[in-house]
Amino acid sequence: MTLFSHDQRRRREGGFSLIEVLLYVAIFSVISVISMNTLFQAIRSFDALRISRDINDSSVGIMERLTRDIKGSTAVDLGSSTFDISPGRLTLNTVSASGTPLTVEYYVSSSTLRYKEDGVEMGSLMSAKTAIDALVFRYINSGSTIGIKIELHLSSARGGVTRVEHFYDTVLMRGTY
Amino acid sequence: MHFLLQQFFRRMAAECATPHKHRRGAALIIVILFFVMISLAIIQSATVGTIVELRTYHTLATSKFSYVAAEAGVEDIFYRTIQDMSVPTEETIMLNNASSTVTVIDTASAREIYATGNAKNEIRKVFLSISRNASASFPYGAQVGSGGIVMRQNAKVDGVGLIKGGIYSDGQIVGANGVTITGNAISSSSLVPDTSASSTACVIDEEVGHTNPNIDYAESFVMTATTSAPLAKVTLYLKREGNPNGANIRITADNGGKPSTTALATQSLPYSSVSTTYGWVDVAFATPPTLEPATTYWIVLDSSQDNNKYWYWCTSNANTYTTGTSSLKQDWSTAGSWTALSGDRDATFKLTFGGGESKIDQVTVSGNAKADAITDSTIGQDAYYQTISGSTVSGFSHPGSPTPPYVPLPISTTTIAQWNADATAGGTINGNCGNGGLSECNTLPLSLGPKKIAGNFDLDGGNDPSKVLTITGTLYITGNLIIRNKGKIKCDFAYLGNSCIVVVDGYVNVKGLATLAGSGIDGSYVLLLSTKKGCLGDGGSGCSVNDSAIAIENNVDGALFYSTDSLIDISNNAIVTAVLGYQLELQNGTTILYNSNISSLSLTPTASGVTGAWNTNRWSEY
Repeated sequence: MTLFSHDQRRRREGGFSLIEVLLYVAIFSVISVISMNTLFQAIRSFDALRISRDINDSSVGIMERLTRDIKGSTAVDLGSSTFDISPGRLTLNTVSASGTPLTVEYYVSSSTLRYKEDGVEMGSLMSAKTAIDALVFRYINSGSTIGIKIELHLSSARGGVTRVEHFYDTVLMRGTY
Repeated sequence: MHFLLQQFFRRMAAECATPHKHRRGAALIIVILFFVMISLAIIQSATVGTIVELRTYHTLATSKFSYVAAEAGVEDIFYRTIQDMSVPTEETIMLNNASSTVTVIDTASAREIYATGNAKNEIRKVFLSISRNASASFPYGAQVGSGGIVMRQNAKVDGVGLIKGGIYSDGQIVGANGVTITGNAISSSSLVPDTSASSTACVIDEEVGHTNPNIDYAESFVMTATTSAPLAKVTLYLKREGNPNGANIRITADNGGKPSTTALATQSLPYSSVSTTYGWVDVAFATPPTLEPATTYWIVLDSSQDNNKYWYWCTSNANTYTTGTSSLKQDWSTAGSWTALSGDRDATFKLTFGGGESKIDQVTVSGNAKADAITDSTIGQDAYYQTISGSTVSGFSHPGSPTPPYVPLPISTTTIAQWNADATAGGTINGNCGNGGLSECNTLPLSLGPKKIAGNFDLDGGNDPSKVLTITGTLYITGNLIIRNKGKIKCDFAYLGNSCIVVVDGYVNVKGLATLAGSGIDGSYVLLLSTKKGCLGDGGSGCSVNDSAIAIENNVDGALFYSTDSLIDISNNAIVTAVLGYQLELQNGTTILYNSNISSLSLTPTASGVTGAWNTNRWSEY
């Protein structure tokens, strides 16, 4: 009786059987793997989201700025602009807010779009997380109307996720009218 | 097994119920909690980011509404102005829940329109200044069309002081010993495809030259451009059967809806340039015909009949090019009617206008040089090219650069027609003026304009400096203009900073210490424009020195010379401020000394500037 009850106590208090441990470990591993996978998936999705946001922010910034400047410019400096190949360079003769003549130069340096005003470096126009794969300006001149076509190819990478997006716009130079 | 599982879960439950005693199961909970926390952080961060982005784009969209409203305000006033309707000094208009507040300020020379668009407190402002002045920009010492520029020994393009002159040519830039260009030298080619005037759908085969009367085929077209241009080449979608000989591609004028029986240009079509399977075949004209806008022309494929050797010209199965039609006839050169192709089909064709070769040869350029080919030149800064030889480049070299863009001359035929109309509105003198002219205009000094002179103007100064022609409005001379023996043309002082215009249909010859001057105020010049055609340095009728349309034989610093279709020849060591022309020749020792005052000229039809069409001075956001 004593022996039995001692045996019973020992069985109740003495850990798991090998099969129980194996089962536990197996279930633990499966759940861990699934949750880790999901976690990594979520992080990747988050990265993709941030990348697309970076690219969108950069593209909106660049396109809005270029559109506005090209629209307002009085002439393109053809000698200091590069058309039809990447990286393009665009030098615009425009006027500042106060009405004085101003030269604005857009160019690509280390995969970022930068600009100069009257030859003075003014900085980058895009997020540091995005890179310009290609930027091509095309010159359109019908005699009475001058326009610029912009082709912008942006890419961004975060944690093994890479994304490339393409943007196009054509702007008429109203300043030349 | 079932029993074991039951026991396992019971034990797990017990473990969890007494965590302070047995913590072995907590690992899983921690993992799951950890996962949940990270996921929540990610979701929260993503949501916040998305909301911020949404707000940004919403603002952007609203700002566009605001911009469009401001534009609408400006356009309303502009429409009222050109339609001679009442123009309020202030108005507010609504567009798509955005408002536009417009203020109109009339100054002596311009009407300024300020519009403020407001959409949900996002403000955009647009400014438009209009006047009856036409502003034109002349950013180069010499701007040349596809005729190109030839600079003889020691000819120079320079700028006043530190200003750089520079050349933009739609054709070649050819120099010689001692030729220097201060500034950039850009040589482009003006070959531009006409993307609208074309038919590219190939559905139905047409046998050309096989059976009578299907021997000669023709397709009509109208060029898209609004200025006349040489037709460099036509491109047809062709194939051949056997080796047909004796075919020609001809360009003819329209004669009442069918091709004329005389060709404007002819180029042979050798069978070697056409494959036995369909392909685009380029036919470049050795002597390109100059075509006029809004005029119908025909491309004629003129072949001879042969049962075994003939051509195929592919056509569409519908009216793909609505401006033109296709017809056929046994012999194009005989009178008589043509037969239109059934189903209003169009033959496949493409057109390329322009000409000129992109090359820079034997010049010293202080700035950048851009051309397809650079030879025997010295480039002070960067060089952009496809091929280079015998040249030195001080800056960076950019091989593989595309041909620089084609830049048409800045004054359109429409503008010139408007100027002619402005002049004609002031009355017409039917006869010659100046030396030997009608009594109403043969005595100098003379104030004239706006006026049309249906004749020549021989401005002989007789070496008397008081013999001045003062321009009070645009002059339109249908004959030639000769300024000689110290003869002088100047703009009336009332032009102030604006420039006056003289349009000449014939040639212009400036010689014998002739003078041209603006009103006396900085930025005022005489624009001397010749529309003479066919004077390209090699014959031509009614041309001036060296077969040119504008010949300048002495120094001129108060005028801008402009030839729409012909050669400008500068000789006799003359120094000239700026020239624009289809073709340019600088003889030995001549100089173009560019002044940046000329970079943007305000051209007015009359001294007081109250007539003429409305033009835009500035249209921008502010």
